[in-house]
Amino acid sequence: MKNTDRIISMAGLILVIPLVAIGIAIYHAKGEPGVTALLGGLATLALYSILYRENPIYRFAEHVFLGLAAGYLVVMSWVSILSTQWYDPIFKPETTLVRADILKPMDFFAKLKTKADPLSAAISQGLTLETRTKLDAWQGPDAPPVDTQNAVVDEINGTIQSGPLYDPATFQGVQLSREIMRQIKREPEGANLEKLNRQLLVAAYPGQVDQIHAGGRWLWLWLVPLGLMGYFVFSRKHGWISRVPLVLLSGFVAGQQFQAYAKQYLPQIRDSFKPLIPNVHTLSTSTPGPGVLTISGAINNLIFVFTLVAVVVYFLFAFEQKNRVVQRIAVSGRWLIMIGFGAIFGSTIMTRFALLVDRMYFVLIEWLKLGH
Amino acid sequence: MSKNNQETQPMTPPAKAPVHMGDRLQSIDRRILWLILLVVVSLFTVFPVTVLNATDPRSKALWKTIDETPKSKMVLLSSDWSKGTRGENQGQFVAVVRHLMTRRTRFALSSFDAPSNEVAMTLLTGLAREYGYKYGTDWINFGYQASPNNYVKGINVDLIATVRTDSVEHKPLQTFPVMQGVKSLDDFHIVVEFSASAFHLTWIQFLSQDVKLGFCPTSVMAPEALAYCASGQLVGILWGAKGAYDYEQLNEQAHTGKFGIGRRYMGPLSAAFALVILSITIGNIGMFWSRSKASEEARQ
Repeated sequence: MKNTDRIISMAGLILVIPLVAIGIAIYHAKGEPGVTALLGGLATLALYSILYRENPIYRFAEHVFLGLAAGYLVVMSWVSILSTQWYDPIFKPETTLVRADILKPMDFFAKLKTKADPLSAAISQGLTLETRTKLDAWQGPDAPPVDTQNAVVDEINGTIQSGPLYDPATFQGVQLSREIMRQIKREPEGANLEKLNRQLLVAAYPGQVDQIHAGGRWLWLWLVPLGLMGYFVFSRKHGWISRVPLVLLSGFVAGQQFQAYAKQYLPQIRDSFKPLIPNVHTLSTSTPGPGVLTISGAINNLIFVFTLVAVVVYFLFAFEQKNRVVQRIAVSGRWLIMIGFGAIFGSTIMTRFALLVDRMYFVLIEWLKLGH
Repeated sequence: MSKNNQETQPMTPPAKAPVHMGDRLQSIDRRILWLILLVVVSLFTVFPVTVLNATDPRSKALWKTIDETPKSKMVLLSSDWSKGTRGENQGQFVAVVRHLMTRRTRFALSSFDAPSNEVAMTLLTGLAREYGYKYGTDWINFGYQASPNNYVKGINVDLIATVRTDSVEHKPLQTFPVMQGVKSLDDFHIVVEFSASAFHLTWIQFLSQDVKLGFCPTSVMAPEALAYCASGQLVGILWGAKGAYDYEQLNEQAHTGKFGIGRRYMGPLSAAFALVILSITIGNIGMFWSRSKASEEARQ
């Protein structure tokens, strides 16, 4: 480490102390957004210090960023992917009613229709007019039609999730366990309230509404050994096992790719057949529309078709390009590709500058408040 | 140092040949160029100027399609950008959302990238407060979708069964007023993809034929998408920061929104481009100057 680097490192470390003090002061004055802006601004300046030269402050900020990103990724992988899409469907209690949870549809729906008790009357009154009409139209002797059952169950789910179901008058005569009564006193919210509401339904309609089960998608547990198979890639003897999940995935993806390729490329091929003869003999028209081709439009199409042919010829490697005309077309194709790449590079610069402008806006306007 | 070496060394160092101005112009210290760039961008950021803008036809086409959304249909915003491309995607996203909220169009949000959904939610929460948009009644979040291909294929047929619950209140979709009568993607007028990646391809490959698709990429991604716009697979494109300004301008003209960072960024951005052109010009002048001097010396 050079002496200047040591000096910069020491200065950086010494600066940390007043910065922490400033951070605490800002937190007290402006709350969390103020501290976030401060940290963001300092991190921006630290990272931009690379423009002068490689230095410890830049390296520190870079490592902090990478560490945070890695940590964030781990948490997000659990919170957004594994927990919600894998763990919960297997283990989390399912409070939402489905049609299969109505064990005796005849009895249950008949109670709702006839408003046999205060709770059934309350639930029935909560149904929309459309669903209520469907339920009233059911005469038996079979269970109500599937769409009627689904509509009622969906709306009961809405009731379960919208607020407390328990009301002493409504649940008069319903035997509630001590545990349920304890839960009611706690006045739960969110998922716990939904769970309580579902338990109340089970208690109010014994033998007719099924108990709460865990998610129960046990088949998804097979993803664990399937995923672990991938780690056999580190074993020379059992390396072949790692190919099993890959083969399975390739099989799934291959099927999808037929559709993907057709929908992505067929319209492109169709669009490459362009008319070259103008049917309106003016340079442009004020009423463009389908089937109208002006002289400028025809020139555009001609450039497109020539570019397409020239670039395809450039990439024809099946035979040696000895013919002078073919060679010239191939060279034109190469030039046209380069012009295209130039345009793309210009766009890349535009993106990078826009990101710089945004950072400067953050530092100068959002952090330092030097303007509006 | 050995005695021999001392003997072979010249007594006085050779006189330094003066560096020609042409060579100097070609080798300006990059740190000076960075500093000038920083000063120019900072000045135009603190003291904003309005740059005149001619709206791109592709931006206009996207705006028009969104503006024509029937009351019975929704719009799906697929937000796949995060803080890394805020400079381009945020302006586009905010402009489109302002348009939707001014028109009182119902919309849904989903993402193929987990952090992107959080970024979009933060913006939408603020905008919803501004426009009086109520979650669950006027808009909804389908959340992060881990498998893009399967998600798009699923919601083409049965959105309720594919997404099941929203990502904010974790309730079944059918319990929200905004989802009443919505069964599949056919109940959506347009899907708008905001992305710093090529997620538009997922939609192009698997989206139902009847649903339109718009794309709001960063400038670096835009050229690749042009072919899909020409073939009609995309109804329109917002080209990076310029696209955001285009959309804001169209909103302003139709009273369906207002100017924001799209216009604000165009001043410093144009100044930075001018600086690049100036630097290239100076470098080239230096090159030709050096060459002419070299050929002069060769003739002598």
